[in-house]
Amino acid sequence: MRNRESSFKQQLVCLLPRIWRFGISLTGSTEVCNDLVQATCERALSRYHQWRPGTRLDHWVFKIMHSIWINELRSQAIRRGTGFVDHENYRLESTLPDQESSLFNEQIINATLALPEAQRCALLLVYVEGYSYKEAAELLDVPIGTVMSRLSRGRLGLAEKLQLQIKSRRSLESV
Amino acid sequence: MYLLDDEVLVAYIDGQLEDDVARQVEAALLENPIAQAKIRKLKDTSSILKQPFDQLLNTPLSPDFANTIMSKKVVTMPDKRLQIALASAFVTVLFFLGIGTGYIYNNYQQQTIQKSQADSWIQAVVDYQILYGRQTLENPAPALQEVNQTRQRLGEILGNDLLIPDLMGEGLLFKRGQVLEFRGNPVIQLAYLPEQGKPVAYCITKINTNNQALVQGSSKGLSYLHWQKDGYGYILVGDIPEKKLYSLHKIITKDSV
Repeated sequence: MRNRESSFKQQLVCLLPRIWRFGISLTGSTEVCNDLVQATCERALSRYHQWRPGTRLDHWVFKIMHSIWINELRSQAIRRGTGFVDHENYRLESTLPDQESSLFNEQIINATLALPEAQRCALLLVYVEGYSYKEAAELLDVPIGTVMSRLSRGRLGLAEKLQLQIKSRRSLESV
Repeated sequence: MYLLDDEVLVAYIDGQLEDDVARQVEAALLENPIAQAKIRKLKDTSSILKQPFDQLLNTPLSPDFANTIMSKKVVTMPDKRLQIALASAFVTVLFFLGIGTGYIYNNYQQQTIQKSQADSWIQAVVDYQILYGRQTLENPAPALQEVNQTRQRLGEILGNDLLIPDLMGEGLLFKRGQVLEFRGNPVIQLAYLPEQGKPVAYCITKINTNNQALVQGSSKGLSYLHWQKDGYGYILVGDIPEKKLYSLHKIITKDSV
């Protein structure tokens, strides 16, 4: 039993960067995201008995995080004026040798974070985390049709925002 | 013409459509340049998200997160549920303990009363039977008509159809049927005379206690069998071997009350 709990904790620690990334897509704010990650970790530990080994821990934890955000922290964040209404401009810790690529990535992240919460969340789950429509729908507790709608609107919105950047980047790459 | 709305186009790009639907979309796209342009626009957004967001994974995180995870205990059973479960279990145990104790006590008490009552009426029947000699039943055996009249009369007193067992196969001749009384309740006594030895009696009375399996005993030189079934108590008693008693019991329970 001890080994199982220890393994659970290790997996949760390994999952932290992805938990934090999903938190950013939900909150659009580093400060609120930190609160959300902390609350999610504590909730996951207190709900350990509900997790079934052999199932996807990431899906389970993301579901917890989404639930905390929707039911508890979002309203507080809005009241504090730090919520999803107006995202902050995110600055990447540059890990790419190419400064320009890092800048481009930042633009994509910020364009995505500027989308409505529901859309950016669906985009992250499907195109970044690699969940199927069905898995994303289950996690967000919405019908698949809603996920499809959010994805299409999110992608069109992103395309509008990024059109210029993509074009200019392509022209640079072709030189 | 297939309706090429944005959801369908995104699902098509993502390969999430069924094959036949995808083929219909492809056919519709050939005739729809606007949708084709939209497809191109959407395709650009499908692959560009992964790398920037993967770069987010390198963001240094507060060590508090990992510390929280490693230092806090996991809850294998939530406190409230545990308390409720334990409380429920405790109450359940108490409940069944109460029922069990009550049941055992009541059962014991009931069994004691039953045994006491049974012992009393067995004793009364035995005491009465002791006085029986062959001369007691020296009157001639009743005719069939008389047997039927007796049967009817005693049956009415007993509150049920009464069958007078034919024990001739065991050498016992039915001689008499009479009504006795024990503690205010009628006791039907059917007396039989064997070829040799003292008379044998088969007694029936109404009871209010539970069924009871066959009990064999002896008292004051007489052997008896006692049992209770469906609101009636029965005693078969006589100065005869136990084996014979059981043979009679077998015949009686086959065609009795």
